[in-house]
Amino acid sequence: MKLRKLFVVCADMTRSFSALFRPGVLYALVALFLIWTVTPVVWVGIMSVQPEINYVAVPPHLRLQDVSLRWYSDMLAQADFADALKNSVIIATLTMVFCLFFGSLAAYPLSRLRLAGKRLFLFASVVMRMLPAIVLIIPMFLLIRLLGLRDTHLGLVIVYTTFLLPFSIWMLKNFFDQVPYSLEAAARMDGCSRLGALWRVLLPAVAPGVVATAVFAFIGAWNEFLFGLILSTSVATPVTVKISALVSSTFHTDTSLVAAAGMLAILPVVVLVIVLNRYIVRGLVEGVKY
Amino acid sequence: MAFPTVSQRFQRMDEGRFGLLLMAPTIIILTVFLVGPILYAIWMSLNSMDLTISPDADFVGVQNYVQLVDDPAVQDAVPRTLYFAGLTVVFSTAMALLLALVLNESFRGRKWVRVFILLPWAVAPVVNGVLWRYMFHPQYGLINAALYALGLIKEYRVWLDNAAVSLAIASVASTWKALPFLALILLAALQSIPESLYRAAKMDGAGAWSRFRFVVLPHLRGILIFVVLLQIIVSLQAFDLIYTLTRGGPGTDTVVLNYLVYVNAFERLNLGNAAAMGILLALFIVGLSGLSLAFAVSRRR
Repeated sequence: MKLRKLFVVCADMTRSFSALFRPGVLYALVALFLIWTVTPVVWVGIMSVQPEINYVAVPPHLRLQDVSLRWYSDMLAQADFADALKNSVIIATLTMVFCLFFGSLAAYPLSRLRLAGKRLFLFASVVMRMLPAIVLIIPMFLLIRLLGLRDTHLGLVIVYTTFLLPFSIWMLKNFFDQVPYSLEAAARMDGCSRLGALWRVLLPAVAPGVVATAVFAFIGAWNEFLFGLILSTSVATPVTVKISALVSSTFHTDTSLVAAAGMLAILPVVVLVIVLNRYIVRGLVEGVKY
Repeated sequence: MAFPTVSQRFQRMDEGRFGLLLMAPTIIILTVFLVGPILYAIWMSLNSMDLTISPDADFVGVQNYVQLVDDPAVQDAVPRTLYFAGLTVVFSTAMALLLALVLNESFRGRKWVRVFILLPWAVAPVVNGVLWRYMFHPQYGLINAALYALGLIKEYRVWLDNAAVSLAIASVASTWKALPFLALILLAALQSIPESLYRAAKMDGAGAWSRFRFVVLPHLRGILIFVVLLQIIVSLQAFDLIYTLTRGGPGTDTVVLNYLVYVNAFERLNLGNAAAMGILLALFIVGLSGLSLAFAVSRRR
């Protein structure tokens, strides 16, 4: 499809006329930025496959023959950690589905229909996006407890959807805005209803945008910590909360185990970033357009 | 006469009503779970709700707000927050600009470099805190190992043992995570500079520096201000990172404002005080985001 091609071309951002750096300087800078980016992850990654005694030594003596994945299997064998990972998968997936569903329903009229208070809604949603979550933590705690949703997946899904929905709407609206009216008009002429046009024409036309929005909602929910900490006690505990408990545990835990847990917690999102890179790049840029 | 089906009713509905219907679920969710809690937080901030004294709320007007001014914890947290935010803004804006300029050039492997550069963006702030805690760990931190190997330190040192260094490390970690996003939006802006401007500058014999100074920089002015404001907002909201990096320690040395709201609510159990602080912080942030919005809008025009 022509439109999709256009998206991909934009997402590449490969125009280059500036030539500000000499080649030597350029490659040195590229190397430095790469080192800066991967070092913390690589270091913790090394810790996660080496026995603690190897990196506690001064200077550390890392040995290839000691490399083992046993800390990963040990960590996954711990029921509470495996459950936390499972909780995060469930919560993030449901949040993503809700954000896409309610988000596209709301983004459609904001992009396409004459509606009173449209600008006000959009403005309010940007402001809400910036609100520090900490202000809402106690009221939210009381509200969720009142509804009997404390320490449940649904409770966290509702809270995360609330926080990620304005942003999802914003992004989807920006993507919808780029689709020419004529596409829908043609569909309407062919007897498509308004919702049918949204479902069959608009959403497929912005498929890359939908993917980007979905990834953002998923990662946003996966990475959330504060509400997970306050609203869960054991059953619904997400992986971020589990990690912080492991790190600050007063018992001595094998540090390689904690490192492996950290790596396991970022693995899903790292895979998403690598696989869906260009959609994410496009979405990041689109999400800040006003 | 046949009763109209649901879809026929949809077709006949006028645009405004149809739009409202589609937005209804969103409006309900946001009203119940966002507007409601905001209003409740405002009400809490006007009440004395100190759970260590009494479980009941007692209306006291703006007393909580007034008390904030004299609260030594707040007086300590403000300069810390400013220091942390200032460092973060400087580190992240300067590095993001440099990275964007680098990514704007053509070089071999650029496609893969861009994929890798994006990684920190996806890392949870909590895990970010863990990563940098292990980078600067007194017994097994890579920084210690590297400096020791280079002969720059005689023995491993404790890095996270004082406010200035700990907060600087926090802003390094914060910059690490924010960089991909900031660099990408700057890159998008760089890509929108018309080719003709570069050509004209080259024709006039402008070197790399003057092309940067007179072509690139003026074009980026608006978005750079946006980036700075955004980083101030992000710094004011720092919580997860601090939680796993330092837990506010040593002592209370890294308790920034946002973290203090948490401490007041869940450790000191003074809910009214925490709510008042949260509301003030929120107002400040909303003001800043209004400003950044204004800049973003003016950028478009």
